[in-house]
Amino acid sequence: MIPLLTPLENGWQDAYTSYLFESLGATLIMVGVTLVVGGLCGLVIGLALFASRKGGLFANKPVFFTLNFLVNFIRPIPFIIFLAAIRPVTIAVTGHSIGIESAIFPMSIMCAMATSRLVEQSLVGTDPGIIEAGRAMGASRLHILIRILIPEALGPLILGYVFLIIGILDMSAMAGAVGAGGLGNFAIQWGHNKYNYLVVWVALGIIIVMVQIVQSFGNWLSRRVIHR
Amino acid sequence: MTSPPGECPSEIIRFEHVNKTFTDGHVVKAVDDVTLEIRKGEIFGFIGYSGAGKSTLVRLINALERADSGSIQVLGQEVTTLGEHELNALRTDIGMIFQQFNLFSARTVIENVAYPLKLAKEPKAKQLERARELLDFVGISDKADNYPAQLSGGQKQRVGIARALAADPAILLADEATSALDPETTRDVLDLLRRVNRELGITIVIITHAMEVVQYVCDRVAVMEEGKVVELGSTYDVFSTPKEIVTRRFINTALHDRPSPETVARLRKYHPGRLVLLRLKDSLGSSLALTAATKGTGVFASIVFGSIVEVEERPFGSVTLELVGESEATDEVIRRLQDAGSWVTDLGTADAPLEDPIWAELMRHEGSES
Repeated sequence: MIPLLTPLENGWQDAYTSYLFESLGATLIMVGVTLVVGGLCGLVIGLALFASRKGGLFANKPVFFTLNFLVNFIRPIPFIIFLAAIRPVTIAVTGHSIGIESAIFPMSIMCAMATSRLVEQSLVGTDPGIIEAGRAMGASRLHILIRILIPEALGPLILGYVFLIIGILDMSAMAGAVGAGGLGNFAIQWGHNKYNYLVVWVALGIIIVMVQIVQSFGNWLSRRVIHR
Repeated sequence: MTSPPGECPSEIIRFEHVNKTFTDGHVVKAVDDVTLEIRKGEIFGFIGYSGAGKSTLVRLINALERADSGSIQVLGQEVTTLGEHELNALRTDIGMIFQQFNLFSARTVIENVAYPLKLAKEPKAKQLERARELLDFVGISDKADNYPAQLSGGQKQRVGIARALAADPAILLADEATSALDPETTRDVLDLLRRVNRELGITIVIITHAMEVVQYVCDRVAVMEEGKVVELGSTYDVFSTPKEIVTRRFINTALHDRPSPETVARLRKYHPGRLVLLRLKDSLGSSLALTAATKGTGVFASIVFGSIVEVEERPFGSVTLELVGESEATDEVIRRLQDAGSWVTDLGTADAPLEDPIWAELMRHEGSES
């Protein structure tokens, strides 16, 4: 017997199937809520970063400096450490120390930080001539930012958000550390800890399929909105 | 459009002692004490090399740049003191087109053209009707549902023009609008701008570094150098009696009518006789004067170089003649031409060459610059 294959003999127990669906549900909720909350907050912060930068539509040094510092400060923190570090805040805000809610809060913050940079970069990539054309037409600065620039940057924004979803999936796997459940937790608890690689690989397979679906959908959507 | 009492009614834009300095890194005086007026219904050109401040000057008109000091009156309003809200209202009266077209890439051609109307919250049906009308006017109705990326440069600029006209502006600003286009397409776009001016009565302000553009379409021109307007006048006058060296250089690039010293040297190989430069004046029949001038002198005159084009729809340019005959006889021909009011420059013969004073000045200037 090859030692590597031995664990497979542990096999798939019937209970795993219901655990799996439960975990999948938890992952989808965590990813979904984080994407909406963190994604929207990130969009706002990203727009603010872009607009407040030097020479921007609403150039404002203190605002830009503050946001830029905040994002640069939080973003590089490894998520697992961040999770632990802001635990008191999480408990104060969500009222839970474990579970999905306690994972979604730090995930959303981290997601907002990452999103803000993606949004900022997508907007920086738009042609500055577009802003000038909008201003020359008599459009207000807010109108230019929201109604003209976002549609112009929609292709890269969509691809950015897809990239983000994959990052959120990654974070959700670590959220098992605060007992949030999800596929990551499933793979560790029933697979890794019990030397059952079949379980790990099933979880992995599902994550790969999810990523593929999201990425293909994102590619398709961005192709539809990019007319370059 | 009401203009305050006492103001010249034909005046649509007025700069008075306008200054603008950029202090980004190093200090650049982009606009230096400019005073001039642009008249209603004319096509006015600003020409200058890059960095001469023309682009900044024209952006002061719709306040894309704000002046440091001075007064700018546009359509009877003092632009320098307008708040953002009033400014946005004024901007709908000032269309603008750009070198890089600046079309919205995520929107179709017709959506681009309709956009200013969408901003003005016009009903959708009216937006589309007007946009179609304008696409028809600029001649690209068939591209309505295409995206800008699918169009050629000339077509993109037509969309830019249609979009700039959508809100029925009184003024159209053209910022190097033909600089990214090939010569033939440039002509087409300039013809279109002329139609915009003539048929719709829109005042056009053109920025360019190409004297051909000024020659082809502008009624009046301001030559800019280092933020200052160094020469200003009707295009024909500026072409025919340029005062500044920079103006002469621009004219040379547009006309190529005046042989350079190198060209003269090449010409002399085959034409050792007396070369004279004869400038055309549309008030005098220069060709007729030539016939009369040579009559009975035994001098044989042939054209060896030259170029004649239209400036402000009047013929303009010069020819270089070789006069073959006795030295006294050629003197007599030159005297007769001068007496007839022609503008003659004697370049001498191969054995006794004379320098073209204008070229000499241009060369001196270039030498001192490098």
